[in-house]
Amino acid sequence: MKKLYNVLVIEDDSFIRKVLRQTLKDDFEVITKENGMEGMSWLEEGNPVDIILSDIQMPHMDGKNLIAMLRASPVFKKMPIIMLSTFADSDTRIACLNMGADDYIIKPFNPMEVKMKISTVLRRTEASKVVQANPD
Amino acid sequence: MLATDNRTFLKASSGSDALRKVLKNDSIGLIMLDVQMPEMDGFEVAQLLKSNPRTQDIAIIFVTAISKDEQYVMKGFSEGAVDYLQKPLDINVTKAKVNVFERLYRYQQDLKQSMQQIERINKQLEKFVYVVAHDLKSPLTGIIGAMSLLEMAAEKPEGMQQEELLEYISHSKEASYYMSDMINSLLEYSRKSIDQQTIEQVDTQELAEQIARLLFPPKHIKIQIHGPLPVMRTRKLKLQQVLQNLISNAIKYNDKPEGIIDIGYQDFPGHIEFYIRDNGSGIAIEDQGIIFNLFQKSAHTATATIESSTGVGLSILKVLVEEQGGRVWVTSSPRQGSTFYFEWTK
Repeated sequence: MKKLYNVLVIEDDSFIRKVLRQTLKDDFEVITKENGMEGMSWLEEGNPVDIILSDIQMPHMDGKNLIAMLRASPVFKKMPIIMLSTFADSDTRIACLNMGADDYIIKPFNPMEVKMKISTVLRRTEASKVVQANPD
Repeated sequence: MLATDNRTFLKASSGSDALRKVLKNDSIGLIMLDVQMPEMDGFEVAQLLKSNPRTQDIAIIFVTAISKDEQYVMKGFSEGAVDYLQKPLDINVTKAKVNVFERLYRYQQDLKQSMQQIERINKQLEKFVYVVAHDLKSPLTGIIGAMSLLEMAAEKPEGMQQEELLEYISHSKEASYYMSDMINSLLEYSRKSIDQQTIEQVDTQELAEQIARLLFPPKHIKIQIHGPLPVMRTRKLKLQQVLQNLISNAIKYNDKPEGIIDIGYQDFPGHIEFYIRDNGSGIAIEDQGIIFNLFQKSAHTATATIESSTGVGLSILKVLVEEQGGRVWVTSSPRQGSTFYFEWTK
């Protein structure tokens, strides 16, 4: 059965990609890409994506560059994005949120937490769409 | 009368001229200051010098013809003088006093230098620890991920392939070995930094030949030493570790039917610049700046699965080179080979 939401997972480590796919596949349509550049092409081709889960450190366009590109683009500026990273320090976390990330998950992660955070951000996005459609 | 080889004298004809010269020159060790001068007297000059953080530590000897009245002597000390000389100057007393202050000044400089060096090494270690902690976490992400998938499989066994289970287990095992390798490299590094403190005469030609022999390069690899490499007084084991690491990388990452590795050097005033050139696979431009980061494998060559080689080698090598004051860098054209350079202080 086709799932309601499409999650684009961008992660350079193939095993972590697999872990994320296995974790999320029962609840979401999962598309995986290896780096920001591939992720960006997938979006630009017009494929449906509801939320992005992206690693920060990757070759060929890292997560920070990806957010910067998304937020600068008229089409994708509101695309929800959750960052994944082994950097746990508050400076990096704050920098990412400041750049426009919707949430931040520290590696190693609990797969349940990833699933829940995706659902939460999606719920928030849906709610804001409703508010925008009915300003009163 | 005070001239020696390692002293330079600056003359100032008035208080304001002196202040200008002091501010322009930051290696002044001692000021001999006349008290009675037109416009600005010596006490005023001393006051101004002591109020500026840049000049407050410079030793001042007041030189004066004013009677030895205690009140003047005390005023001089209260304005920050460290000593007092009476005109006409007694040559021997003056010489002796200046010698004392020169020695003090040199000690102070040495102390300052040691402090700066310690601060630099401390910063480096702080960064090192941060990166180590971060990079030790990376394989854990895979292990915890694999465990979670195994847990899910245990809760819902239907439809789970045995191959898949085995893959999760073998991934965890590999990642654990990888972590263990990293920890071993770190232990080795910390032990070596403690042990390798003796400075000895090192014939680097002999050292390089020995390393090239003991690495047992395969038949298609030819190692050419453009020597004789210099003899230098240094910490042998550290230099050996750096050379060995670079030569073994040059062998390991050579993908040509006929591998050529050139080792040579260039002599500079304070250091020797060694180079190790190979005709191997080269390093992608975007990776050249990051390969010295801890545990960083070249993204260009990295297969997405875990590799057996850790990136510990190059980052420790960087610490080894930098802690003795040198730099390490690489130039490379992808597919044609790389040249690693490092500076070793004489």
